[in-house]
Amino acid sequence: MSTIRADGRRAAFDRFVDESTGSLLRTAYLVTGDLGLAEDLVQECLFKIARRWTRVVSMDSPKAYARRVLVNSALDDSKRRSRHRAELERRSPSDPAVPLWWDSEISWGAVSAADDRLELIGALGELARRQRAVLVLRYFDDLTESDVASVLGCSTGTVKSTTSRALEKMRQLLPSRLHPDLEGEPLACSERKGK
Amino acid sequence: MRMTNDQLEAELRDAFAVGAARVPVEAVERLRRVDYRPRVRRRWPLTIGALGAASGTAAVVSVAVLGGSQAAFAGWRAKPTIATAAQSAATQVNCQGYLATMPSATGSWSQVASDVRGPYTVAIYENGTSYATCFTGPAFTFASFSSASGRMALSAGNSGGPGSPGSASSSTGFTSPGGGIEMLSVSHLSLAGDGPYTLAEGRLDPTVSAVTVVLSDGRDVAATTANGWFVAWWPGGQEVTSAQITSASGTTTEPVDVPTETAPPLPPPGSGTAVPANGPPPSGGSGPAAPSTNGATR
Repeated sequence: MSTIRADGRRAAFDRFVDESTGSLLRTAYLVTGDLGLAEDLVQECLFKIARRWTRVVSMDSPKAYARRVLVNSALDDSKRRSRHRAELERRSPSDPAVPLWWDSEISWGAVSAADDRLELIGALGELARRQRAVLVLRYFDDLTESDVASVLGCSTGTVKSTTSRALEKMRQLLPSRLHPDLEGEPLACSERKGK
Repeated sequence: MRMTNDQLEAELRDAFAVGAARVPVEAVERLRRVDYRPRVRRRWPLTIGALGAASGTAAVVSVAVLGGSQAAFAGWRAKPTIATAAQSAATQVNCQGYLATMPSATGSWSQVASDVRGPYTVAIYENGTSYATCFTGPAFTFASFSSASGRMALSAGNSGGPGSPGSASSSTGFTSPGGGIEMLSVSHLSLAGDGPYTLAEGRLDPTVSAVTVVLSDGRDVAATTANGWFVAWWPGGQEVTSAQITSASGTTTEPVDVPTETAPPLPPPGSGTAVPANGPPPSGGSGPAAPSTNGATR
């Protein structure tokens, strides 16, 4: 009987790996920007999950747990580095031949590379990794604020404030697009200030 | 005027989908092939041990074991569900390689419909003269191509790679019904590990807003309709007996004609058309396989 249960767990783990690897890798890549690092993080994550599988498989959502392990590993990896070193590495992916995704030449469907939406992708690279992680979890993985809080081990309020700060920073990084009314209208600004 | 949060969030979703599409399928496959399980001292039962002794067969074992214990196409729904951004990105990634190798792919492919049912997505692409159907699930991708000369299966695969379980096995052509639906193609296919399934797809009169197909066992399956196309699929080999067609003037039920011809079965994976899941066919191996389905035009 215990052998059957063990075999079932093995099969369940294999299926879990099949179903979750792609999604986990894409999340890790979007958060870190570095494909080599993302692969390392996913592999490390799945090794951890395998060791704890007996417990993990009984959870409501093993994938949610895996995502939590993965994202926190990505954030810990960032913390381990000094700020200066992290900045250097932010522009130096693990494989120099493969640029970070927000620095890559990206074709956005039929849109040319000059499209201003590419600015937005570039701006994502300027965010702190934790801010980017919150945005990825909210707008790529479609998690609720509560679920993001669970992944990051923080309060919903912290998720809200981090999201807000990240979006505000995006706005600051894209002033020409996101404040179109200010561009070329200095008088209007002065008038507002004077009121 | 500041960009609203909704606008910024929508652009972020697009940006992440674009970034996610850059993850190469080879990287995903490489990670799937790793043996993550810790070493154990006890011997595995003979059936598992015999199959799993060689490296690289874990996925095959998984499929074989799960075939007996998991419901076929687990998570399938009779009504379409909403795709997550991650699911949309995965579909884009998994289908891109196949589309690039489609015969006569002179024009660019545009996605015209995407039918999502739990973890499964059927996406239809059109390039003006032909259309392609890409069916993705958690561990497989199957793509096929259709032109005026009839449907040609192009590629099929699953996580086990070439030669492992998971193939298109047969398909049949149908004539079209009497109204609303301008072209109907029904294919009977099969994936090892999940079993048989049936795919219905076709073109609609522009006035049609919804289609529900009624199966021979009495079940109703709501189709996805978009851009003049509809698509639905269901586990099993049940036939379509009628279709409930909704337009501005109301809903009518139209009988669907019986099949008029049976095409030869598709070759199994490993016979020249099968490729690893989530990855493009190998170079030089992109030629079409045997004709399988004819979509009849009214």
